[in-house]
Amino acid sequence: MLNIKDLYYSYTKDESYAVKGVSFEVTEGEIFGFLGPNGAGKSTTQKVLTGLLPMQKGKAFVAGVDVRKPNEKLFNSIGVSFEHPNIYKKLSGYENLDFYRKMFSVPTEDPMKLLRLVGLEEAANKKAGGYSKGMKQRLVFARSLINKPKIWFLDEPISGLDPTTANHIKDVIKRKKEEGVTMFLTTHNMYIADELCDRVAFINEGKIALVDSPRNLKLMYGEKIIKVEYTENGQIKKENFSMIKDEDKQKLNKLISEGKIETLHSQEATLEEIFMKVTGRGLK
Amino acid sequence: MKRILSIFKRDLQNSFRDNLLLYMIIIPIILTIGLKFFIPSTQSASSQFALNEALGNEVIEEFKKYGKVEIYSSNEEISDRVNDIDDIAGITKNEEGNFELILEGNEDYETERIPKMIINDLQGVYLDTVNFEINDIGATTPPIALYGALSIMVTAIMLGGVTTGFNIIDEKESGTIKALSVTPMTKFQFIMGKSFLGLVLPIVHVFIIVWIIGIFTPNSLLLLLMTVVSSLISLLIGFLIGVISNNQISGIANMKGIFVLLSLSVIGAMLLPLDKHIFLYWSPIYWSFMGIKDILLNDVTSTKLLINIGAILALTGIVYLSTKNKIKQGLS
Repeated sequence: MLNIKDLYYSYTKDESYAVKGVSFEVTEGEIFGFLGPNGAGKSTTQKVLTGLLPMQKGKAFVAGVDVRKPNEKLFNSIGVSFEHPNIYKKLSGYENLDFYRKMFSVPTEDPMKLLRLVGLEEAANKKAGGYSKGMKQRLVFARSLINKPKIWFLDEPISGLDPTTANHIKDVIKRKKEEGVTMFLTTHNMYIADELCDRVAFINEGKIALVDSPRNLKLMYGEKIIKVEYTENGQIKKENFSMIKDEDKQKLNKLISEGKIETLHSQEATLEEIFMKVTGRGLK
Repeated sequence: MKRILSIFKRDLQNSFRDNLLLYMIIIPIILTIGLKFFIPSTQSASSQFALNEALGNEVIEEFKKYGKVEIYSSNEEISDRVNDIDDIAGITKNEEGNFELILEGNEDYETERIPKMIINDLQGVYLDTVNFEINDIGATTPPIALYGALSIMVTAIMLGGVTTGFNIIDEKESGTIKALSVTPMTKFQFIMGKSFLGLVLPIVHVFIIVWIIGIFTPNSLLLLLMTVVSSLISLLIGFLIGVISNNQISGIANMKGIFVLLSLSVIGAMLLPLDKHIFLYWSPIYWSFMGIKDILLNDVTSTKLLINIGAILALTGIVYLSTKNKIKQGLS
């Protein structure tokens, strides 16, 4: 669904590239995470792929359309959920979606159905300018689904949302994956990437440093250690057990069978730790 | 077309819900109503008479030669009409069959004198010792009403474009241009959709102004044509204001600057003698003003029309060529 090869982009149109030779592929129904700190080139890549920025160098095909020549088919196939809530403040939530759907030449979703999906049905006829930040974000999220996109670009989809709403949005994303929608998710939030993405790409200073599934990365970069808290003689003790050494495995089995364990954590690496290991910088 | 109309509809909704834009939409109408009701002399510059129908056709026809005639069936109705805010002389006959003039008492000298002269003429009596004649110069609309209406029309045409400009500013401020850019909507459709309001509003305004003031022209189609052609420069200015302004405040500042410059040509067209108008030829608004004036005065000829339209289009073309890159860049 997405086929990108040696993509370069320079805002100053010289050798100072914001994106340098980025290549990757995303298959149908996959959620592909683009993970990187601010200014790493995530948004620039997404803008080029959605036609917001012109192609300068390299090759990019989205839904089989050459991004160098974006056409009606491309825009009918994609949905873009922007990070910043760019909505018509003087129009109601319903009017925002109703206006937007008329821009497409494919069958569209019922605006009310989408508002219900993101929990805005009661505010459907209220001016969007009076919405809270979270409500505006949900409206943008709903709008990006209006044309039933085959490829869905999500830019920080749960940024600024409270935990309940964020979980609701994540559920919608998972449901859309089940329906076969391909997703390109840009974020610097490692938890959402870990939870939702089939594969993630680490991008830093315009270059992709690594592409793999979160599970593989964690196995590859994590330690084979289990951190345990247990009670002994009425006191709580903390100890690390190797998952490889026989002696540690036996001791751990004993603690489990005696029912002394209070807490138990495997020590696989987080995506943020892996990112730091690979790029030498954090995700913030 | 569906997309163009949707953009137009959205802009219209937005304009009626935004206080500043709503003000721009209604101010030409308020100014016109003000001109109609608060300047009574706009109608009194030409002679008008309120006649009792009992005077008979011969008398009525005679009065029609000298001005606008209104027919009433009773003296009470004539008195009511005379009491209205403008100057009008009431003429009837008393029980003895003599002509009687009904006046408020505060009319100007001519309002009283002209009907007296006509009556004397009808009776074959010449009181004046000197000969005089009334020359009809063909002006059926009082100058104050004409120039007032013209000024409001030109303002309305300019505000149409500015409304478009402020809707673009709204799109920029809210970032919705970005959202539209990832839909199949083309830049051409966006520009056409945005232009629609800037074309429709001036047409509606101009015809409402004509209707309120009561300047009935047989050249309605020409008036429509001149309004549409004049709206092109207004739209171009609107787009320019839209792309160079990042918010409503800077939009207002830019609008003021451009309006002051263009207003000079309208003021010049009203005050300067014709031989000095050459100094106003640079302004497309001057040509709009002159073009609409000719149409309203029924003084339009093919040559005059072509010159006015040609000048507007040529000047609009020059402005377009010098600003198109800026506009293109600003809409990206």
